[in-house]
Amino acid sequence: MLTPRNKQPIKVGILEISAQNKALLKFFFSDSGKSYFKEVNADQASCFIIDYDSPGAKESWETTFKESQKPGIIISIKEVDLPSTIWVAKPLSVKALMDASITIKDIIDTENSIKETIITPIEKELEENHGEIAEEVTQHETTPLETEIDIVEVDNIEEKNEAVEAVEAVEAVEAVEAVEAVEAVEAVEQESIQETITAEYQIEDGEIVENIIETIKEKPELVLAGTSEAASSTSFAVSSDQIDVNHGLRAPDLFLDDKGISSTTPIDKTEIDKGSKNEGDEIDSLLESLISEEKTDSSLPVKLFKSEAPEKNHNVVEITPKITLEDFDLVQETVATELKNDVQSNEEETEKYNDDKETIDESVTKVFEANDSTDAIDTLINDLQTNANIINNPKGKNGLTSSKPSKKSAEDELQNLLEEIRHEANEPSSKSRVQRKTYLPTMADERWKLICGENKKKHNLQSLCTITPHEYILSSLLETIKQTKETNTVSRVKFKDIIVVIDPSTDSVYCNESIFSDYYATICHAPISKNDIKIHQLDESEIRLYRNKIEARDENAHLIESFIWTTSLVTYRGYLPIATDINKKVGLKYWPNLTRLENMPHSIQIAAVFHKCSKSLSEITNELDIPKKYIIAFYNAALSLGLIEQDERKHLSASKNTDDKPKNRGFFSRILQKLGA
Amino acid sequence: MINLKTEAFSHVSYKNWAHNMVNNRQHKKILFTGPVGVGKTTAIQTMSDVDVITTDEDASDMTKKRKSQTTVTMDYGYMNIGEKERIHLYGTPGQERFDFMWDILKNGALGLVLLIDNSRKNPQQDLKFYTESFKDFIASGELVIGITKADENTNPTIDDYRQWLTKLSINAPIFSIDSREKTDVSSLIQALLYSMDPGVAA
Repeated sequence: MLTPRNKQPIKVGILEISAQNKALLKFFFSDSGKSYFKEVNADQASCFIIDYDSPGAKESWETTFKESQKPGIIISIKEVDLPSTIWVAKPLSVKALMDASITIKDIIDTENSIKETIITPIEKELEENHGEIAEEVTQHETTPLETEIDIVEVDNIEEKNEAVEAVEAVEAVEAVEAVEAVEAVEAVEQESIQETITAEYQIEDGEIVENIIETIKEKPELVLAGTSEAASSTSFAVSSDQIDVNHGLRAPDLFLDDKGISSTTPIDKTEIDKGSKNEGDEIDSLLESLISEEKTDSSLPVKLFKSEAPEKNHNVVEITPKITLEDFDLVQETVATELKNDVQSNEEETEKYNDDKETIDESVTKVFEANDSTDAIDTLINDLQTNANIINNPKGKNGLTSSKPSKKSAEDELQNLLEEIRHEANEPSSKSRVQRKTYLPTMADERWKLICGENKKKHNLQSLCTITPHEYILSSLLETIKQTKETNTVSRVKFKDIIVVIDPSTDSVYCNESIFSDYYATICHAPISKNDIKIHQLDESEIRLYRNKIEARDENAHLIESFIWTTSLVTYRGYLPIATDINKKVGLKYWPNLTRLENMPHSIQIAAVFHKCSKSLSEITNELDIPKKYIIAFYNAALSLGLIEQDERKHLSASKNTDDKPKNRGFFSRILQKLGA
Repeated sequence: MINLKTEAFSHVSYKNWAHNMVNNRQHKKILFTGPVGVGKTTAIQTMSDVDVITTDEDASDMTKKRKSQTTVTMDYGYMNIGEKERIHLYGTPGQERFDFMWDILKNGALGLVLLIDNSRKNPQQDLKFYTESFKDFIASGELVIGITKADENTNPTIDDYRQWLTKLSINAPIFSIDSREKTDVSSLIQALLYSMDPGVAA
């Protein structure tokens, strides 16, 4: 870095410049650049500094240079080559300014020496002439003019003093701001990523803190609170570099945009400092009381925040928590011990839980299985008697101890309970005792009969009935769906009194009739004439109508895949499509999205078999211990979805022999039982 | 949910501690993985018979935009199978800076459950990243894929995911799931087990 050759700072005047850069320069001039530059008024300056990217800077420089012929330091993003100027690139740096000072000093010295050698004799002559003229003028001027001039000069001095005081006050404030700006920049540089919450306030100068407190009191959810100790030490959860306030609460940018325009203007920091000292404690106490509350984004007004708030409270300041080595060892031991204890205690608890669960399950199962409600009641009574024995036995299964009712009173209670149950048994059974699930086994069985057909255990596949798909509504629906996907249009299919609207853009189908109803199943399973089917494309108004229904998640709106799956099941109802080769090896291109399709038994296992094994229908139905109807139903539905791979060469998965018994089969079987498969 | 306030470990400490934990249960485990906030911890909680042991900490980086806490080591739960058997459920941390845990956790796993968040900006990229990260494991083991938040965000569709998997030469079961729904997560695990052994009967 160059050092100044002499210790006299260069008198510099600041021309067009943004507020941020001005603050930077003033800070520089007051601190490390003290010996390099001294800011003065334009008429006293030896050189100028100008931000060439500011609006009007170009014209301003041209005018100034024309009048003063003094060199300048041009600050801009792009290099500028002008006579008697030095270009300093943005962003400003201390080193660049110091180097510029050396160079500009050379230019000033050079120009001064030129003036002395060439210009001085001319000036002397002019001065002499001017002096003669001046003497002539003064002889003829009257006294009042001179007095007037004197009075004007005095006024100017007072004004000047006032102006200087004002400038010094502002400079002091701006110097403080500049310091904060530098610190803010350093903080930003150190953090790799900092998500900020910005606030837009339209407030008057000097009322910032009061308004913030009032807002927090009204809407405590606006406060960011940390969960660690460091959060409480932060005097204000919204740190100074994270709120974007039009009146400059945010630190000014040190790196300007291309135009050097900043949206913030400096504020009178002294007034804020006065307020913050008194209000800071109040804010701390308020924040502490709000730290544990969890707020959601939805409670935050859009007006106050620019970007999304985090879902939960978090510590803005602290980045990573720290732990000592001792704490880590302690944690490790705690974890291991906890796990061990958990396993042991959990084993005991789960044993007890399993026992209780078994008891409950047995009771429930028996209630479901019992055809006669009286049997169910008797079962329940037996269970209660068993439990009563446990209660009466202080050292029973549940480890109950002495503080229990006497034997006699327990028996009385049991008798009362049994009487109540018998009384209830004589009344008509309420539905609520039996219906605990949406699908009772009996209802599910009926539904599966509807979609998969009757049990065809005794029949081999070849003797199964077949249907001609083209005679049913399913084929028209599949064609229409294919067409709408290709043309990206919305189509409406009407058959009988059933209307189906297919919208491929939202991957959805709307049907005015529930596709899970018996009526829909009946319509689909009955042959239909082509004349009964009407298909047409919807116009914009009709599309809007149906899309509203679809978007409202109407119960009659379905995913296209789900619609085809169910429609196929109820259409085929366990029959095979005509001309199906049951001995041809087939595979599965992709798994159906089974979690969003109508449930049928063994669908996951059947999908795995079709996917993993390249086998024919007859082989699969013979080898798997699954009713044929489910395998056929799955095959039909997958075929309608286009998921069956007929070409053996295209089977992606390697063929696996399902007869091989891999290890862990027993364990897998038990897991599947646990999962309810 | 048991939350161990395990403050930030050093990289080596994490590895050692997790390795000790995992080695005690090398077999009969299923690994859940996926990006941050996809629902791994929730899925394990849904299936576990006991309170899940988590190692959540306050998120400090971009993660906190999605959730305030994130798994820093792993999640652990289990399902009791009978009186003496157990299937262990492990969840990997989602953030890539904890990916050293993935290698530790996948050792001895029966299969991998990959969860993809359909509401993220680039689910295709997530799919590619995780299938690449667990490439060796997928080649030798089994993979199932669960797409979360697909009910609210219908794009991309399941068909899109199927096409992407085809490009990656992977053919795995792929379902739309809700991590909070036991039937959905159960279907994923069933698909995983049946993929390993199609002939197994419940």
